[in-house]
Amino acid sequence: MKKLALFIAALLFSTFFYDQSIGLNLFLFSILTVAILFINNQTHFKNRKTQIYSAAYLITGLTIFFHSSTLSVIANLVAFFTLIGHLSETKSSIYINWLNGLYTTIAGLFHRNFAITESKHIEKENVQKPPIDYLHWAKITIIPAVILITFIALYKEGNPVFSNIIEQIDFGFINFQWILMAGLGYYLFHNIYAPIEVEPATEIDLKTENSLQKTNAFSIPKLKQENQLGVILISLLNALIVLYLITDVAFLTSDLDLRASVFSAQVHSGINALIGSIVIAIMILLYVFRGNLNFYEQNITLKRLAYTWIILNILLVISIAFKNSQYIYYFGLTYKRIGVLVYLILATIGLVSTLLKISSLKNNWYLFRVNTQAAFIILVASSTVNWDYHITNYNFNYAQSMDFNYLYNLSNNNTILLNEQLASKTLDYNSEQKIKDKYNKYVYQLRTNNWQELQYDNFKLNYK
Amino acid sequence: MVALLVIAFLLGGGITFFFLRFSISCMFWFSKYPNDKPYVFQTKFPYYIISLFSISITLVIASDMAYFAMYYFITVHFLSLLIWYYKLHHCKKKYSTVSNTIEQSQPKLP
Repeated sequence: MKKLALFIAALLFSTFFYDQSIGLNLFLFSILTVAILFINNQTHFKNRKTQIYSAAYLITGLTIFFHSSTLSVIANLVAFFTLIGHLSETKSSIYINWLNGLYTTIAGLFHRNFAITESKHIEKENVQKPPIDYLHWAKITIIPAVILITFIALYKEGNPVFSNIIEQIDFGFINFQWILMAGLGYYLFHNIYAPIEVEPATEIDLKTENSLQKTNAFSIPKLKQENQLGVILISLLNALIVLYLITDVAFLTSDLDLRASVFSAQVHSGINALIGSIVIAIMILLYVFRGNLNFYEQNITLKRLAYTWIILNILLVISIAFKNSQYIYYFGLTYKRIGVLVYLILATIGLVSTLLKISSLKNNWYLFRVNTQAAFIILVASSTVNWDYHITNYNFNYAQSMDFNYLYNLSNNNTILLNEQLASKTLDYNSEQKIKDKYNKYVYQLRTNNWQELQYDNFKLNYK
Repeated sequence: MVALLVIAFLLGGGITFFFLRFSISCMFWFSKYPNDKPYVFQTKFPYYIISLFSISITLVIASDMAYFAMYYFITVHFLSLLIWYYKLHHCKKKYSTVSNTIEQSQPKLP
């Protein structure tokens, strides 16, 4: 049963992907993968986390059908590794899931069948496999096949409708490369059906807890000195950031025209520096609260100063977000500017998790686990948005100015919208021609898509 | 022309085989317990095969998904698995470790 399922999955894999571009096929592959994993790991699928990861994987597959972007393909791939890695060890961290998922996909079959482990040797000694009856297998495959073909030939003569159906079956798509692709599909599904783990890494991860432990090197005089250094350092940094924020508010509330003219230079040089400062801020806090200082009774002032600094850094993030949104309003939405916003969300999560780490005596692994999990959620969530469409829509309808060539060079996800804009916006002749060319090429591509390559835009086009 | 192709194939295949064989041997040489095959397999093989796969996929993408590159790196992948299989199951060679090659120069000293 299991082998038959893998065999069918391999044939479907080749049918989906051989000589096809990405579209509906990746979503169908996602469903097929979840089905194969479910057949072989039914008990794991009762786990809530497994269900969530499966849903995330299917959602990323569906987003590729709706808008086939590089981001959604990357998210689908990461979700695939996460799900498989999670099935190999449900209690491990997400980054270990990625490692296990990648390892299973590459060498699961080899690890299970050719690896030399003690348990396997013992199993081999105890269990003697019954010999395969090749003659029986030949009988149950060849005899029914021959009889079936004979009867098909007979029935074809007796009924023209049946004859037409039989003649319409075309296996012309099968060739050497198609078979090779099916072989790779079989290898892939054989690898993933029973996920395996990278043992040393998984073991270390399972042993590593989230909480900090007091070490034997606990020395009060030493900690007192460290505490003093921390208090002075973070007090000065607090004073500096307060001064910076006051000047920043003064700058932001200054004359509008002046701001618009200097925004370009400000945002490009300023935001990068501020982004760096937030990373350094987190690193300084991690260094100060790395060990026994967390258990020092007189650390209350230091902790309060650290919380204040984190909150002030969050205010800095809000200030950068405000500047970035002003920049977007004046000069339009671009991927880089969206990237800054995504980074700011991640930085806020990083700052909040650092605060939690300090307040509840957690170690750096806790921080790493929480933040990688957050990055995964943001990746999956951001892959569900058709960014090209929203960038085009915003720049055409809300931004004060826009770069037409930038919009034109985006993927085909904005082509239908660009064509719609022709009716309501006045553009120069060259731009109109460019849009018409892009639209015609895209419509031709959609019309020539095979069923495996279908996209949501195909249905939109047919509906029109 | 055919002779040139055969020579190129043999040369390319030979270099690839040598490189894979050498890199896998390195995994054993640099292992803490080179004669403990399950240990080497558990600690080195996953990282080796993940690294090899990552390099292969990067080069396939860099070559704009050329058919030749795809076939070549698929072959490299399976060849590396075959060499690992040979090393784990059939290779009788014993590696000398640092601990048993160093002899005490003055064994009577405390």
